[in-house]
Amino acid sequence: MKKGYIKGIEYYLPELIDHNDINDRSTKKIGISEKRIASSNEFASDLAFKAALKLFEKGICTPNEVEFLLYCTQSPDYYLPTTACILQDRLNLPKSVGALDFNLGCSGYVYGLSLAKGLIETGMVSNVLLITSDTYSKYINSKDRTVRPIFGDGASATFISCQDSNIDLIGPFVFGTDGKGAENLIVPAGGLRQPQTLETSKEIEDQFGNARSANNLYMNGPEIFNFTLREIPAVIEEILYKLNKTLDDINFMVFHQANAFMLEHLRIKLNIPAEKFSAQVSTCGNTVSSSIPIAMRNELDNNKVQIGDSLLLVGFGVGYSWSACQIIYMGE
Amino acid sequence: MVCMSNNLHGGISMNQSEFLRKFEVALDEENETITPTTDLDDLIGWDSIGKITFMSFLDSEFGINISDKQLNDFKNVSDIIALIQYKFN
Repeated sequence: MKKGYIKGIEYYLPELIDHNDINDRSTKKIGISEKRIASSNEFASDLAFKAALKLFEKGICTPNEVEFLLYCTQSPDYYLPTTACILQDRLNLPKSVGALDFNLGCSGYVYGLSLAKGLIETGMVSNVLLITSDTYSKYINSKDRTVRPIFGDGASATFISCQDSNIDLIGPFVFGTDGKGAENLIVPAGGLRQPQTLETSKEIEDQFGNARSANNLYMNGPEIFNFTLREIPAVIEEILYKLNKTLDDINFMVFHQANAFMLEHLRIKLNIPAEKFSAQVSTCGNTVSSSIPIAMRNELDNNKVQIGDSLLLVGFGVGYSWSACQIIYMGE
Repeated sequence: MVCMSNNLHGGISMNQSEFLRKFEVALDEENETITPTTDLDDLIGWDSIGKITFMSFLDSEFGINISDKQLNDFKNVSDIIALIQYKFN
């Protein structure tokens, strides 16, 4: 039976480095010493383009093999057209490809894998290119210490192909959505509901000296943490139930790389051994939908994952939106 | 005001004094500077990362999950102690 599988993963980070103040108590807690930031004339689609080129250069696939492009971003080039269409042209993908954007953040990579699996295993296509890319730095007020030290820009590209297999190589999945949390991680102005105006660009300073306007990214960190504690343990329980496995049966786990403090709290709460748990935020920060594939690439390079291993991927954040899945690593 | 000898319950037995010392560590405040009557808004460490650290402490020590809205309703440290005791009584 034809099953989708991950054939290769690459990522690209912009060159500009933003260092966090190592003496700041927040820096120590979040475990992020630096992150990469797109320059003023560099956009998410530029990072996406470079990430995809790395897949081609490493011989994972050729542009002509791509039959469907899935592009996950919350930093589109335009309201319209769809950035995936621009990327089709820039990457010299065949005109026969399907291409679409989807707007998700930290859960986006796992959702993208579910879409790719659906396209492949229903027989519509054989090969999918999944790209994630974001430049949250362009939404962040440089005087807002609740978000600036945390988020980094970056892009990933994953080639999903198919082969005969008796077992799922991607999946099963668990999904979740709770739009009640929308206000806790948001850029309030800039869409149609609240267009950017002089009024929305006015900065307001909070009691801790953090400044932001309605055009900027706002995050209620404690509420996001509370959401994670509330939902993620149940997600793990549910995916393990679907798999009929225990945590001991899973070889490696890659959670959304929110920050070191949250990851470590979840790891201890869920009784996951440190050697089976990815922690890859220190030099790139929270790269939103790219955090899972970036961590996976790094863990593959560190030989933490072997062919045939069962990996659990868990994405959670803005929306609120969350998802988890198992993948079987098939080598590159 | 809660009596200092009262035990707070949780995964481990903890009296009020131990709780206050752990609360200080969570907020990176100086040792023995926080009392039950301390106004939370007077604490520099009671910011976003301080609240998150405290939520982590409440979850791991007492299994209590608390929302940011609930945290913001607290006026002083004794309100938090009262919540923990309420949850276990």
